[in-house]
Amino acid sequence: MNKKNTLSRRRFLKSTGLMGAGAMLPLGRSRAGVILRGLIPDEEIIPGISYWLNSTCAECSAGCGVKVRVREGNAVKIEGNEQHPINHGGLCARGQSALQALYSPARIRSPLLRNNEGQLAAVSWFDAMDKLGARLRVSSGRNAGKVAILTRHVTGSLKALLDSQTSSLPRLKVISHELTDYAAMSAANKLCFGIEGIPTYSLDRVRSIVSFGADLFETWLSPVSNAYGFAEARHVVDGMPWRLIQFESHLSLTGANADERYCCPPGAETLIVLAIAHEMLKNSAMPPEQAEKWRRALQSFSMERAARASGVSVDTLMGVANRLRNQTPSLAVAGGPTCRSKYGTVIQIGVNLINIAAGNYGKTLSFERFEHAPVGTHRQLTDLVEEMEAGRVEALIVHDTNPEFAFPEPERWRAAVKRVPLTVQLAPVRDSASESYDIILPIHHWLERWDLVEPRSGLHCVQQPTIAPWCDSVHPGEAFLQIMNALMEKRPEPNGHYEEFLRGQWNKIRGGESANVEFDDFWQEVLASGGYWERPTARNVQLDARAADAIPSVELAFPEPGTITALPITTIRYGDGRQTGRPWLHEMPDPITTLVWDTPLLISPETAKKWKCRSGDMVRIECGGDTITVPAYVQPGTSDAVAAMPLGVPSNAYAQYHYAADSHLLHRLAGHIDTSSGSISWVGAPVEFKGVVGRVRLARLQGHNSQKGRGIAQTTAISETGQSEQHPAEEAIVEADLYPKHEHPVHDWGMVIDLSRCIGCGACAVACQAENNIYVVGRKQCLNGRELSWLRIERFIDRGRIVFLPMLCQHCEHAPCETVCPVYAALHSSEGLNQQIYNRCVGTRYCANNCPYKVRRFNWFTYKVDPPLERQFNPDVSIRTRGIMEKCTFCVQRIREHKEIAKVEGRALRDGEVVPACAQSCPTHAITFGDLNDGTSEVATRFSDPRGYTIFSELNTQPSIVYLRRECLADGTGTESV
Amino acid sequence: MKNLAVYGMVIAWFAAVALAVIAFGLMQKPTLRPAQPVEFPHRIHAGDLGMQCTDCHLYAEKSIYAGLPGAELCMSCHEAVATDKPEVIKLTELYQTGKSVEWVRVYQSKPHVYFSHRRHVLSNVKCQECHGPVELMTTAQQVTDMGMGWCVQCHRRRGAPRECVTCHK
Repeated sequence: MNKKNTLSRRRFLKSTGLMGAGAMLPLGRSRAGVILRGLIPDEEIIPGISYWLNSTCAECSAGCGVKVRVREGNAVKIEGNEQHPINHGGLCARGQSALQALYSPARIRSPLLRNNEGQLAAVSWFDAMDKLGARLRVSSGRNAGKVAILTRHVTGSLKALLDSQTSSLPRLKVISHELTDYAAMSAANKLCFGIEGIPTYSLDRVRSIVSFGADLFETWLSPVSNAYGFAEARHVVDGMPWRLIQFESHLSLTGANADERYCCPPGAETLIVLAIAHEMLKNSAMPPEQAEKWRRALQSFSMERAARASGVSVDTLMGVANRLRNQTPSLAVAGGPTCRSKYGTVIQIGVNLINIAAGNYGKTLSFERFEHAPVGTHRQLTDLVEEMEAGRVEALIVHDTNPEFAFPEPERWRAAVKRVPLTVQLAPVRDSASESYDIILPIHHWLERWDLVEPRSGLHCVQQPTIAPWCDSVHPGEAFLQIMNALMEKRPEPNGHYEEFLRGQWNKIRGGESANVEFDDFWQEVLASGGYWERPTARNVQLDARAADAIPSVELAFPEPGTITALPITTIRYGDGRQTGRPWLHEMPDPITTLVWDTPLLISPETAKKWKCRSGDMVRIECGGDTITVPAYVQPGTSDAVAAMPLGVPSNAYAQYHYAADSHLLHRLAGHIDTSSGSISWVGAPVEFKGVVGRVRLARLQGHNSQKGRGIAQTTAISETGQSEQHPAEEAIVEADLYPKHEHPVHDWGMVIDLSRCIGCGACAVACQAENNIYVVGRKQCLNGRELSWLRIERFIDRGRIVFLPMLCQHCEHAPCETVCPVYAALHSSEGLNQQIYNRCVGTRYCANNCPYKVRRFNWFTYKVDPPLERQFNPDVSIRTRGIMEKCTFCVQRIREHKEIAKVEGRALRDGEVVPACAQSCPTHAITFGDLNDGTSEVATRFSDPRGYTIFSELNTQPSIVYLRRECLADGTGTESV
Repeated sequence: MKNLAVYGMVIAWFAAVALAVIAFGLMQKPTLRPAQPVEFPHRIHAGDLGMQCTDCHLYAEKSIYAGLPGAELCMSCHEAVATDKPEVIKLTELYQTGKSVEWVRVYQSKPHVYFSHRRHVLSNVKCQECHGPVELMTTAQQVTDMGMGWCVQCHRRRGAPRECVTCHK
């Protein structure tokens, strides 16, 4: 805690932040002044005050807008930016965990160079670049080989830089690669409309959505945006309830939230999509000769055939087609692992056809903006590997991606890398492949740098440094520029530094619609809002009937009935597997399995019966010509035809837990390629069971699914016409009381959680962990039931429907914990808070034993974090040590902060001003917090919602949290099997 | 005689233990007036010259921290003023070598306590009410233990909130 003004954040930034070690690079030169300035002038930065800086998340390609809280030169919290058109204020768990990469102990501290003994040793930037330059120049003759840059998905300024270089340097080959690419969608759109790109989806306008395997809320395109749209659309009351219909092979979070869910074997969705498309052609407004062409291409895809393959009845499929046609605007989407098959493009063509027939273009999806910039395909990566194997690649530069993990044949990749004379890695954090490179150059984390990114075309988002880079790193753009310098005889364009180039890029954007605004004013506005939103360009789509030729007329080859297919899946916890070194994510329970730390093989109860195994058995399976041993987990809702395993088993050097580090199903694919798009098929490798070889305890947080009739998570049925079921009001229990009633003269804090909006994504749980300095206890302690998370997502079944319920301290008016504390460490505040005073607590644990909600957490040990992760700690919250009970405080530090601000400004607290971390991060805005004394506040209004109920009201605890029953369609089906 | 020797030894033992305990206690006791890198006379600045506390403790009205001045701030006056004084020469040397003045903390609030200077200053609590007559001191001396009882008696007297979470974080 630094009280000296001599160490302000800006001073750091001024001297080192923007450039990092750039000045030390060869060809670097000193710069006069700072090119890009922050919003708050240096001299106005005050220690002890929180500053929120807008930036853009780079944890996946979605590019959500974030604001980062900075205190005393440390970034301590990431939250969603409310003004941002993509995420509208929410932020997923993976995005929030970026702080743990920023302060990761595995950050690369300085350039590393392979020395004569073959070891990577720390060197100065000058030596590293000198060596790199020398090696590149040696190979720069007439017959010089290629220099390949393999980069993660880059947009905006970095992309412009790389594009400008490739045009002037024929030797240079740039490939961007993402494991979860959407190549099939691009390819299908190219065939159907001549537009090579991915449209943006507006789920908030949808009345019925049919998803063929797309994991909308986990990873699909823009999960936070999807979740927000989903919640908004559900709450439009127009007499016709919203409906999500999901066809999938494993139980995804999206499937768990679907109103109708159909479990079908992989491959069946191809037939279903084409059959529904065929059906919808019948009375579409398409020109007759075009419709005829499509009908001919689709004639073999009948409802009966789809029903036979999927096990879903013809009536149901007809119903789905009718709903798409009549409950408009509707939307069909396809994605997820099973749609990454060799018929991926065909599926997407079918989906396009459905959306055209239902007239959805321009309503629920449009090409006004493109989602994601184009990414290279698997085929391009394979071409690169072939060139590497042939010795035609002179140098390989890998930027912030781990091809050893993302390429399906890691052995082949490793062998190919050995054939390249010079391999360079640009990365902020070490990964499992780092050991195989010759030179490792540390780059700024995205929270340490200025940049311009464009996650959707026309949305120019800013990234700005929030802390001074603490490693000897440079901006990746600067590193690229220096590498280009080494490659070229003459100085490349742009000459100078990346930051100047970046300013030029921003200036270009200003030049469009706001050319008459001064750059400084424009820049202030960009920083204040998080970016500059260009007006969308209207693009009409015209279906090209030639796309029908891409639909194969031959019999499609699917896995034999009865075989079990390996299926790597993406989950909300680990996404595509890149965020594997983050303790918060390990300890965040997977919403479906409620497992922490573990990512076992998910099998159906039927498969378990066949294999004679239970959850927690270590099973040996043969898959893709390889035998692996993995723990099995019986997950109802999984198709009998798949054995699914989440991507992202901790493989990072920092992960403490390695049992299955090399057993990714992703590395055991069958190797089928979708010829139209060039992406690899994720399905098709058969799994053969070889026996149970042992047992392992899986760290599962929730013991069972049954509520034992206690009505913890409740639902309310709504009919087809939007009528909702009536629930009797809870009767207040009036009894003689031993204690006087609590008075709340000023504020009475309360919370309303709308279970209809909650999708169980767990963003709130991670936000709570980050805000309140909650330690990660590790797998072993989780197995002992000693987890510390203050907020957990409970997953229950009510009337056959999965209901997710965030469980946190209920701040009871009649709190059972308060009356048993012998030292008054737990006591009620005049504002209705159930306070826990840490330094008064002696650790009797009586309170936890007496709490019916099981939300009090005990510190069995003094836990530690690996430095410098402690820089993330919130200075406004105590660090707890061994022997102390802790629990949710309703983010009392935020209440205090805003009361203070209001007092200084001489006004009363405004409704919605105090937002706890959980409510802030929620992508669907399911949590409302506020003052119940203020009758006009949102929370007070919703407190008396007819859907509301309190948990365990029969115990007369009088909680301050009201849950609103989850609305379920009376005729909904699907998830009751879980 | 033998008894006397035994008694003597016992008494000497206890005395030695008692002395050791006292000595240990004295060693543990925080210095009320820690030595500072520069012997800063509050008496001259805040007393004789009548400067405001916030002239140097820049953030007392704005932040939870009052803030300690860096050498740069000192030099904004002492470039020209009292340049012949030995302590100012020391300060100038520090400044010219680019070092910061490593002020030693006099008051250290407990890590579980939320304390905001701004709130107290804006509520018209005089600096001296907690920090003593600073204008009479040279380098600052601790005058109160800033324990909970001490805080609470003032909060009670002034009718300030006494909710646990007002101060406990």
